[in-house]
Amino acid sequence: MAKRKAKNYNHHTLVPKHEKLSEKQKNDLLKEFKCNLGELPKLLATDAAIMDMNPKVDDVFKIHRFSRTEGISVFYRVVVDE
Amino acid sequence: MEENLPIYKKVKAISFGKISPKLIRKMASVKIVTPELYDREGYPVDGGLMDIRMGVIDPGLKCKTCGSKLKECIGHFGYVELARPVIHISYAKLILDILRKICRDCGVVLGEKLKPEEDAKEKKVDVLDAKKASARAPKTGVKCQSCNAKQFKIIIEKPTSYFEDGKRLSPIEVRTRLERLRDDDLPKLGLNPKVFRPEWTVLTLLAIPPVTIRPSITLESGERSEDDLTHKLGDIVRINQRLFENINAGAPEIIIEDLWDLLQYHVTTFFDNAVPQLPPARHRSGQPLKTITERIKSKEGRIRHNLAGKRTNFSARTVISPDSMLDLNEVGIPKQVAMKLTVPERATKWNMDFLKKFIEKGPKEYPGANYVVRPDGRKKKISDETKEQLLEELQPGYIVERHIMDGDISIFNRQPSLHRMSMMCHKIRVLPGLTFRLNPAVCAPYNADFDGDEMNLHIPQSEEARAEAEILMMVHTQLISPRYGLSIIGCNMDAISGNYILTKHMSIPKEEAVQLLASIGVDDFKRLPDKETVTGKEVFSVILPEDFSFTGKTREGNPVKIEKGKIKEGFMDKANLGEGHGLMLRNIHKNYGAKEALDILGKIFRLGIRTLQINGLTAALSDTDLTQKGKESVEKILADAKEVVNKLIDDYHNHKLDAFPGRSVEETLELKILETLNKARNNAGKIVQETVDKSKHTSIIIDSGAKGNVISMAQMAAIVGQQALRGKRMEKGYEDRTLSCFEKNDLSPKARGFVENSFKKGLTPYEFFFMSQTGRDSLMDTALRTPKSGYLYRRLANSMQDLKVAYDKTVRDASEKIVQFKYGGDGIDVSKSEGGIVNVKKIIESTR
Ligand SMILES: [Mg+2]
Ligand SMILES: [Zn+2]
Ligand SMILES: [Zn+2]
Repeated sequence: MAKRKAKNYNHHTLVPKHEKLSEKQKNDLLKEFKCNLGELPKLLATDAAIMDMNPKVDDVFKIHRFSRTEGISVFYRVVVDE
Repeated sequence: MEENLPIYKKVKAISFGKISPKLIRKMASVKIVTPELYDREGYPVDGGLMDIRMGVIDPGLKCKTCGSKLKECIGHFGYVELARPVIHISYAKLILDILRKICRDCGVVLGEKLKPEEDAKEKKVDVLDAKKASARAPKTGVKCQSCNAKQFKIIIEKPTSYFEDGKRLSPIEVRTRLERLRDDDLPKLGLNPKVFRPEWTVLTLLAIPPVTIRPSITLESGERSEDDLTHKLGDIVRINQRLFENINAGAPEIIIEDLWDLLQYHVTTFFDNAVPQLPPARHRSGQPLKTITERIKSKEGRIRHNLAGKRTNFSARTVISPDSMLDLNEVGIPKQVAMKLTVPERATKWNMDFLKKFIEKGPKEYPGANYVVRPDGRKKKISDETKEQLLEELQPGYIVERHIMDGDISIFNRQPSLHRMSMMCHKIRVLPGLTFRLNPAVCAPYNADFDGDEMNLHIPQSEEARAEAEILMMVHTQLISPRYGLSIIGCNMDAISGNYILTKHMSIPKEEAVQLLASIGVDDFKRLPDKETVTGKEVFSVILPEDFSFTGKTREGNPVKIEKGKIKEGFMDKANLGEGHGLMLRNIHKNYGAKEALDILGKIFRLGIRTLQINGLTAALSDTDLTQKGKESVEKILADAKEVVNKLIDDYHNHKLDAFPGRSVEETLELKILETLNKARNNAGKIVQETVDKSKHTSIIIDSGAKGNVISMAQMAAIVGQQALRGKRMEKGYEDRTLSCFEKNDLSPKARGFVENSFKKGLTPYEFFFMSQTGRDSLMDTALRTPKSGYLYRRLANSMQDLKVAYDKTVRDASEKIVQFKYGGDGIDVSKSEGGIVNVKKIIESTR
């Protein structure tokens, strides 16, 4: 198969907004949920939704999803490399 | 306390290896030297197979090794020294693989490069790779890359003999070859040298399992009967001894070899008595011995029978049948079951006389008792002989296991138990008959019907279990489904159509109304208007709470208005009473609580059924009669459609048909025909709906939502419609036609599966044939889909079974990993909502 250049899907209407958390926001998050990075849901570093945001392992992304009952529902994912 | 401390360690890996002779010797508490079991006094012989150092199997004795009593001592291994080594049958194949892979002289792995250290480190092979390696086994003629020795082909003569170039390799030779393998080379063969040395697969010592896993039974005659394993071990030890003696006496090699082979046979069958090439070892009665492999394997083996197949006491199972006169939280059970299942009741000075009555009746009379448990835990069966003595003996502290009676707590279950409503707590009602009885309203959560379904009943045995069952599992606590927030239990079928008729059409003399209400369990008639005749709405209103107000809609969207416990407008149907709908029920639940809602639901259900018993409900053939006008318009619709289709076909043949974008002309024709015919069927359906007599019972059943739909009504009254197979009209079957009674390439509706008759009128033979084709297809489809989707659901449920909502409202798995940051993404508890939605506006309004 021919290798196609990966496309940036971040601005597609069906891709929920991804936002990288600052180091402080990240620590606040971990404090709020009393958990460590390993207990957060994961996100691949190569995920098309975040590829233009220079993701590094252990970065945390905040995801704003549309919800019929809540309007916007937030979710967090930590970047992993495999 | 130390054992209460949590363990902060996790299992990272488990490695499986083979026990070494060294370890066998080390862990053994006895060396077995004689096949004798007991001496003349019947006492176990020292160094025999029942040596008491291997554990206790007799009550009262203490273990000579660990000092524990029966059941506390788990048993201890012994060992026998084998006179000559034997092959372990489970490793026969592995041994062959290894022998073929290594040099017969120096033990190096053949065909490898000369620097084994680097290789071994680089790739860690697992056992599966070793199997692949055996496929590359070198053939005769290959030379060792290390010592240049010529190799020969090695074959196995099953089960345990190896031959190299026609000469037999004795287990001793096999063992020496395996010994030559260096630890460094083992990973190449998929072996871990820390837990597995290949020569351990040729046994020099045999571990003797503890007596606790092969206990002997004392028969009634006082004779001892030994376990199959003990028999087999006896054979091994006996032959082993003879072999020792013959070797020491310098017997001829032939005799020694024979004994050696016999020893091999016994050791092999000790491990596995179903080796294909060997005759199984048998009892004197001729039945094969059950040795180690047979104990573990198969459906009756340890794993599937004992570990995976658990059984429960104090449970019953039988066919279910309906009884709408029972409360929803009751279950009717046969007397025969009630006399087998018991509840333990502790005697105190206050209930002595009460309990004595049960003992007096005994196990054969209801309500009696089956057992008395003494304070020391000894169980005594109540019988005619023991009755008098037990009555005298009974005092506070004793436990009487009495028969279950009306009002006792039970847990009722129907498999497959897919959700928590599949096991609910019901109160016992002992009834005549041989089936479990349940209110048909609770069929929905159990997914039960009465075509022969069976259900299970469990009786909790402790106060705590009963309390939990009552508080957490009682039917009324399960009314609102946690899946969609509406009542999962509601009215169905007759209960819906009955209430529909009652609240829509009926009006009856007051006297009858009182009787009707009395028969469903209402005894307060004050709210019935003081009139000669009362309407059905007024009768129904009596059941509703006095201050209940509700506005909703019927199925067809007409308003329903209840004010101060009286129906002012509209009537009851599936939208307000049905399972999984029932907005009115949901509101009663919210305002008056679960118990009240369940009580009202039971009354509504019975009211519907009683109404039908008085009024009658019969589906008649004439219910589907159309008016003359209706008939004509259906015929007209059909004729018009046929004309359109014929026109389309003509256009197609004259090449005047334009193709849709992206479609061929043939596909376009098919689509257009299908569309025309479906439109015709739908229009005919509409005609039926408009012209059919609404007061007829078949219509009532459909309109109330009790069962059926307008499509099937139209199929009975007007046209059945197009039969489709895989989304297309019927195709082929024969060459270029569906059936031999049509011309080739006939595209007309009737030749392609359009059934223009109604079920009532009757089908032509070819229509019947087309219907049977689609019928077969959909039957196969459901038959194949049900187990598939069932298994899919099971896997899904199992994968999520230990997810829980933590106190911070996150959803976490068993290892505290976060799955959702807010339950459901929005934090709504569906069971507290209405259909998954919290209507804030409504809540504010209701608080005004
Ligand atoms: Mg059934
Ligand atoms: Zn012991
Ligand atoms: Zn060699």
